[in-house]
Amino acid sequence: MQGPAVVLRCLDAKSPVLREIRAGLEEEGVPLVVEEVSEGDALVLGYAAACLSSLDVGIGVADEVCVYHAKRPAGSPALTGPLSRARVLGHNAARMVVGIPLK
Amino acid sequence: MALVVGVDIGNSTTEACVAEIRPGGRVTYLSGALTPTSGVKGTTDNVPGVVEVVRRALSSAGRPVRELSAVLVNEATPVISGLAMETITETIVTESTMIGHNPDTPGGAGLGVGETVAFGSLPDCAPGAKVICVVGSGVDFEDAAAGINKAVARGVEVTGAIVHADDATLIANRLSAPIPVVDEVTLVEKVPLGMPAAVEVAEPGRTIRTLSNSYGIATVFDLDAEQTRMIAPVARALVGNRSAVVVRTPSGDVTGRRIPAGNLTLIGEQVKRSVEIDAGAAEIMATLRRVRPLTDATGEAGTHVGGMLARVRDTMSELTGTAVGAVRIQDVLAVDTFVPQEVTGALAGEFALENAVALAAMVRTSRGPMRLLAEKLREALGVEVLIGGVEADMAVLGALTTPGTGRPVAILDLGGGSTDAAVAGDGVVRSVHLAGAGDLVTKLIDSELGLDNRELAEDIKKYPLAKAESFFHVRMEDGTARFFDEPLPVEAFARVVVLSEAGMRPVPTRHNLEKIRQVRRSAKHKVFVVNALRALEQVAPGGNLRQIGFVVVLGGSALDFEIPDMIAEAVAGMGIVCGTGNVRGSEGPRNAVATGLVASHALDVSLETVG
Repeated sequence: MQGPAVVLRCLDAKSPVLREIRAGLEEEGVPLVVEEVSEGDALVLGYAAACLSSLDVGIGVADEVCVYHAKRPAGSPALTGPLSRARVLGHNAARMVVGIPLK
Repeated sequence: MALVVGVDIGNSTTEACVAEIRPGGRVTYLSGALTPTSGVKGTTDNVPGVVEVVRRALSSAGRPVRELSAVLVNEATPVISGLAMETITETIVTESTMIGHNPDTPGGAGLGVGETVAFGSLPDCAPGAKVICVVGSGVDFEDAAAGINKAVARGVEVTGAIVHADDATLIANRLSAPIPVVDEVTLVEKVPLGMPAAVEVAEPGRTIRTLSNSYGIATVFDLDAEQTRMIAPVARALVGNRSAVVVRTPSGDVTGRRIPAGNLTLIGEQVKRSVEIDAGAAEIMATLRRVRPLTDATGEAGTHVGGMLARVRDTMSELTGTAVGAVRIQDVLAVDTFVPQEVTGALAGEFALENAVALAAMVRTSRGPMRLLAEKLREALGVEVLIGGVEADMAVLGALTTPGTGRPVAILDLGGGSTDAAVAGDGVVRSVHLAGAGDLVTKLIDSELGLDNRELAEDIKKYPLAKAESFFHVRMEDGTARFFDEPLPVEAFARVVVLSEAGMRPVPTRHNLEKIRQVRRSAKHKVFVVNALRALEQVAPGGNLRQIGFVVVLGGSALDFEIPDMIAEAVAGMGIVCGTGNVRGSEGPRNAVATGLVASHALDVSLETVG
């Protein structure tokens, strides 16, 4: 694992949804690392991503977007939302790291 | 042996005290109870509340209603207070000079000055033109950045940008030459085009320097002295922002205006004086001291104060069924406050704090309904109902059951609508009812923080604040940390929260914890400390506070976590023992009047047996 970053796990790294999430994080100034894996739903991907992240925040992308905080229990994501809200969820994942109220 | 219940009908709660009185007048207190008052104090609407509280008190004493020999109610002269608040200054931004604005994440840094141009018109700009690009909704950040880069490559000097969406950093990151970008401008389509404008963004952790300085704006727009005077309120409104936009239009001016708030006329028994509302609270209260005792107050018709008092009178007359003309205002408390007003012509719904005066007025109404109330109670309970002594006397008697008190004792009854005080010296009780109490504090908190949510304001008044620092802990306002086993709700994350009994409640504003705390404390100080001193001064023998030995703080607001301390601190210098009451050594600051009713009745019984 390299420098401080939010980790995102997804099934397709070329998905246009990722551009939106990345934009959300970039706006808040928080780095992101993307990992493509072969299987899992957003919950599973998100929790694994959070555990990998040195910032304790992970995002899982499958049929929905799931934002996890590693300190929260496995079945309890901080936020979930449809793909259409990807940008806002990206913002909020970053805000959890920065420590400002979510939007 | 007689079983009696003392019942105190207050403005917001009805309290009962059950006791047994032996023939010699010896009292055994059995239990107490409390319910919200039904209806306006002193009216027959109170009956259901009284019945309820009597039942509850009896059931917790384990005694049936049929054993009851009498219900004692206080002779409640209904004291009702009303509140009104009026702005006395106003910042007006005419038509098109727009100001603002402070998004969480602006992009770039520095100051850009130029003419406003719509993003779509950038290709039409001549090389060498200095422009501020206005990007409307629906433009993707990559397209916006590409468009600006293309214009810059042609020689157009794009010096800044105003953006609708939340993507200033994204645009700034993609520009060949960095410029300040302000985003989240909700009314971006209202930004006038073809006008000189300035955009300023400060580095993270800093605030803007040029647009928050009148001379800075004057330099940017080449203003003369008179124009600079006009723009000064804009600069003032922008102080402390991380970013700002100022658009200068030919007719655009900003002025601070004092609204003629009108004259308040205070009519005393001997003298009558007028005072201008916009002279501020201190002046109003000083004038009140000069005319005391007050018999009525009137406001100039057609002015704000006239409207304020009319509203109070109307409410009172409606509540008590008296004619508007018969309502006499017995006391007023004026408090300086701020009211957030939407700035006309703001870019994203910004607010400016305007000076205002809040006025609490109190009316004492007729005693008529009391007999009717007793009659109805007799029917409802099937027990004899006795109207007991004057409320203040009863409160003093009840307060004296607090361990450690002695005469001369003064009570301060801090309620929802009024602050009452009484002093018992040698047999005579002197009492005073003053306008302004808990409800006014709630209103001040609500308006000064711009919450527009009375329930939340009430919680902020009653409970300590904390900031949710992670999903598992909060930092309390005194700096201590508190941890939770369950993760905190996402809405609370990084927000200021109120730790109420019902749980954690986020405060949805941008105010930081320190600011909310300061507003809360100053509201309590402005109402309760001011009223405590005012009340004690009026009841103290010879007006000398040093003649009072003990002050017992009673009433709902005495349960507040900081008000009693504030009052104790304020009177400490006068050698007064001051603390929250503990009626009968068990009831805290509650139940004083109910207990006093029983004690007074027992005294009567003992005198009868002796006689």
